[in-house]
Amino acid sequence: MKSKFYIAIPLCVFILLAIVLFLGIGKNPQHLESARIGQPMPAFELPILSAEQNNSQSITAQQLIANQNQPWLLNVWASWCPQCYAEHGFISAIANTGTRVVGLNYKDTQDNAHKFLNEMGNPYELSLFDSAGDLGFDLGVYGAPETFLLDAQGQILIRHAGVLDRKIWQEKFAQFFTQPIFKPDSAKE
Amino acid sequence: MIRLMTHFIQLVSTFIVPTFTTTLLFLVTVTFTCWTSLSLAAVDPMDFSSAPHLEARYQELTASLRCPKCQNQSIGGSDAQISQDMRQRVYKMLLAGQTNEAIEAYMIERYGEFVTYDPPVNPRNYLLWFGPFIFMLILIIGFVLVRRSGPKISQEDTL
Repeated sequence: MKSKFYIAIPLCVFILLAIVLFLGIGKNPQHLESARIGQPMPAFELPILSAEQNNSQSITAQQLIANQNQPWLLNVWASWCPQCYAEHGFISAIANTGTRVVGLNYKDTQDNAHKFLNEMGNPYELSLFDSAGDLGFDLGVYGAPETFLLDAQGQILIRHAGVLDRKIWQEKFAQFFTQPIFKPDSAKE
Repeated sequence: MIRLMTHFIQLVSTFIVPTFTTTLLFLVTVTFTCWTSLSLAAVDPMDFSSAPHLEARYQELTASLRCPKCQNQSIGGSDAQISQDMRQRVYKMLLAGQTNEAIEAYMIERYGEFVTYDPPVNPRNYLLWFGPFIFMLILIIGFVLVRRSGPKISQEDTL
């Protein structure tokens, strides 16, 4: 009888291990947990991507996060990022609902960035021109596209690495909005 | 005698084989991780002529920080853009007189604990650090206990 009990121990350990590993299924190890969740937007001062060569305004973090009354998105994009082209349609769909989408043009050139926006359309309220990638680095960005969700006070709620689509929106982002931004019968993009 | 043999084979399959396989896998993984991170890319050799004493620390740090994008490589061994950016930061911070701890903390603040191959030992990481040892301990205890109660049963069966 006693030995039967002890033989059950490896079985219990196996079940425990199986549960732990099972919980890991579906989680993409490429997607790092962001270290900045729950923290405010890091301080910065960056130029705004502007069509006019001589008219380049700068904006600070404080100015960017001010006067918001609902969650908003910061979308990291670049002309050299192929998946940004794929994601663009959905980002535009989000912007069309009236939700604020700010772009972070990451490690790009003015010319190529403008080419992208002219070709694909510009869903962004504005785009921060982060050619050196310094703000990206402070945010823990390690590639493009990435999308951050920030609350009305400028605190980071979510960081999604990779293409953003409707499914991921429903799973991760939608919960932070008091009203669903997409109407149930609107076309899935 | 045959009973003892079958019982022994049972024990082997239940305890020894998984333990051995796990330990072997652990050792292989560790070896490969260390081996991979020692292959340093010479894509953008940093200029240490003004501060040659910093080069050793630079090599140390770039070997111990993980590339967030290509996660099996250190930033020293990866060609990814983010690795290059991180190497630049390490270089600049070293020249600015920052300590290794400060540089590591800077990276962890932005990229999380996963970015270092040497995570700090804090309550969140106890399972990571002590898990394998606890597991081995359970197996050894289990083995010893079953071994002790084993022969009794086989003696009863032999006539």
